[in-house]
Amino acid sequence: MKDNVIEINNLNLWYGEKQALTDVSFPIRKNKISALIGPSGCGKSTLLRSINRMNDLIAKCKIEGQIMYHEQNIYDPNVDVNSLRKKIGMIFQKPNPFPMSIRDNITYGPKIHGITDEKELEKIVERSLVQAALWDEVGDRLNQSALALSGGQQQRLCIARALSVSPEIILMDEPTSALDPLATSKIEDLACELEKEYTVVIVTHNMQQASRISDYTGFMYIGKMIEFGDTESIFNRPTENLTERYITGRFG
Amino acid sequence: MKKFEDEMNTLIEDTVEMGKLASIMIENSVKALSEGNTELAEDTSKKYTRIAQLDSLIENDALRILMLYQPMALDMRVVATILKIITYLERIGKYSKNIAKAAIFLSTTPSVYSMDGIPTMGEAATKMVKDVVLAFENRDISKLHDYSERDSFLDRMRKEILRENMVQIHENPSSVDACIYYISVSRYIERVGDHSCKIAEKVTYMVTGKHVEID
Repeated sequence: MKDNVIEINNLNLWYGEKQALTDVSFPIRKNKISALIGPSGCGKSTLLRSINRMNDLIAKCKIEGQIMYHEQNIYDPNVDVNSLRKKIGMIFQKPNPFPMSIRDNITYGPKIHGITDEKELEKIVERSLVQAALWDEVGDRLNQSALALSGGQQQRLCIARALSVSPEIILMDEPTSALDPLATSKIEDLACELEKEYTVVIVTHNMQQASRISDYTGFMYIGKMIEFGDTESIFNRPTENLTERYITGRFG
Repeated sequence: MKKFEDEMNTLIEDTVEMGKLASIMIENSVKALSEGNTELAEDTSKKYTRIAQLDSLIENDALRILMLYQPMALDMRVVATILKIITYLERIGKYSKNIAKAAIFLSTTPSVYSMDGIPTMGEAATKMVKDVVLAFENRDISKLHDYSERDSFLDRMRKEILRENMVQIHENPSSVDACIYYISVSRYIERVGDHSCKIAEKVTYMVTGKHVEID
């Protein structure tokens, strides 16, 4: 379907003997925010990491099934993982800026991908920081160490860094769990802003966050996608009893 | 979770109490009127105080639950439904109180015409309130499918009573006070039916998650 930027079909994933994902299928809609919710250990971060092949870095990780992106299975042997990760960026739970200046954090990726023209790099720095709603705060001190920024600013810098290589999809793994409510609100506003140009997939433990910002929500439990649908339906009248019990806090 | 569930249970119990009180009020006010029983009318009228009390108590508790617990799915639908239906129940209580007052006035006025229509309307409206309160309590909407017809019946009856009383006023102008009371009472009962329909819509939403309209 043309509205789907990614289609995940019957994905199974094992860490050694342990199966972490079982027969997961769902679409990721273009220019929308999709949220993955579920209890700890349900496989939502594993699923997120499968979308840009971060699990390749884990030994004894075995994957079956398909993740279709631009009509190609990203797990085909001929897929270039580096250019895949350029198109599908990732933001982690804890902000992880490189221990270098704000500017260098942003130019790092574009330089690796072969951009050397200084003017072009300056443009990328400004555009990325503007898009990450950080330009007004740091535009006049780009040579300062990124580590001097607050946690919320560091996280937005990481988003700017992901944007610097012009991705199509941004994966966010609990991006606000280490942030205070104000910084969280800025990241949420940012995600809603990014949706216009990018596709966002966010893993969150905070159900209000999922209901506040996402267009689609998937509920996962023990490695399975129990229910996936538009966010309003999931939070108003889920069809699965398990989903109902989880979102109303009556689990286990 | 237990604290939340305790508060939800109290909220639901209070709403059921309010619903049952509204059922009793409409039933007894019409009974007081048709039997000329002023004692029952007084007693019914007094019950409105508790309805008003429950209205504000439940509203405060429901808003508190929304603020503190941000309920989701069925919990959210229950709280949203309660916030709406207490307004309708309060109105039913108020109309019943007005009927009870009319009963007191009419008990001293010699009956000028047969008022068969009023008890029939009262019975139908009482059944509507009772069924919808039961549907809320049991989360079972199987008895709510014919509310549109039941509402139309009350509308027809009200028009009939209006016509009868107009004729009466023309033929016997001294009966005008009593007739105006009868016309008002029929209007109150018809409104009770309307409010029952609104409650039925909300309870259907609570149970199914789907919005319906009963007209």
